Amino acid sequence: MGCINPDGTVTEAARELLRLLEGKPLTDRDVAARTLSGQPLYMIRSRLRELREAGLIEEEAGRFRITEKGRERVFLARASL
Amino acid sequence: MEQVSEIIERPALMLPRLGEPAPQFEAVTTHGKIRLEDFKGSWLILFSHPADFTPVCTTEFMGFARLHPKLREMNCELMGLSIDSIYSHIAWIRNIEQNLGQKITFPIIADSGRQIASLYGMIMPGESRTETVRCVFIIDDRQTLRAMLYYPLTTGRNMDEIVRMVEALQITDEFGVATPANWQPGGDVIVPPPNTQELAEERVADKEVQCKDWYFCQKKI
Repeated sequence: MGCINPDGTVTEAARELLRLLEGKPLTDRDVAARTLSGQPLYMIRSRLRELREAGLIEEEAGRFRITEKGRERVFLARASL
Repeated sequence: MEQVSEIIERPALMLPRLGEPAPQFEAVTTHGKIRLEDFKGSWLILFSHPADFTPVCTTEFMGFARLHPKLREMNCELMGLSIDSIYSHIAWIRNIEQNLGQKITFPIIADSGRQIASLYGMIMPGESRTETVRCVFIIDDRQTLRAMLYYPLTTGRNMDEIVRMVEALQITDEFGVATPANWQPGGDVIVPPPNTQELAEERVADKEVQCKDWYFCQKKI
């Protein structure tokens, strides 16, 4: 249930978070409230940390936003559908 | 009888302490890497089991999984732990779902290196040197350790008692009261005893509480 697959692609759960963060920066609680998959807050925090460490999102003052690298991953995921 | 020299030579078992911050950790789990701090804002029942693919543990896991929705309603999460590998955990919970029809919805820590088991004093060498005993740690929403229960390898835990403990602690926090022996949700609670003579006199005159004596008063909430 991590965010990054062994082949470097992002999981469906991670894609959901990245899509949410394409708009305005959100806190972890904002993200948890907006997910359709009902991920609990502790999982959101774990996944946001993994995405941040992978450079796909960044954090400033407790709010998360997608990076260019993250947008590329979302674009690639959409293109492969 | 045990000799004094044997007692002195026995290595000290590290145990966390009630009322203090729960020891922090990062763990590999069946739900990915999780840190204890990820649970801030919700209560957590952290529990250990001796080993995957064992019968008592399987009954406990099914019991915990059945409780999980109720615990979530109480703002309380669950997380298991044993010193088995992540692949063993995955195989076991798939086995439980396929053969016994119970989906395991909470994460399980693979503590192969025993770091967290050691941090929380989950290994009791008198019971087993290679397995964790049946521990339960109740950690509150501010990450303070509020309760610990230790069961031996042979005795499965009482799930109702674990839920009762969380309910009692949450009532204590919300209303500033204590709970009597065998308290159940909805039952009378204990009002903390007054600590001055003046307060004692006020307490016995208080119509909101039922007092057996000035130090022993109960009320409904």
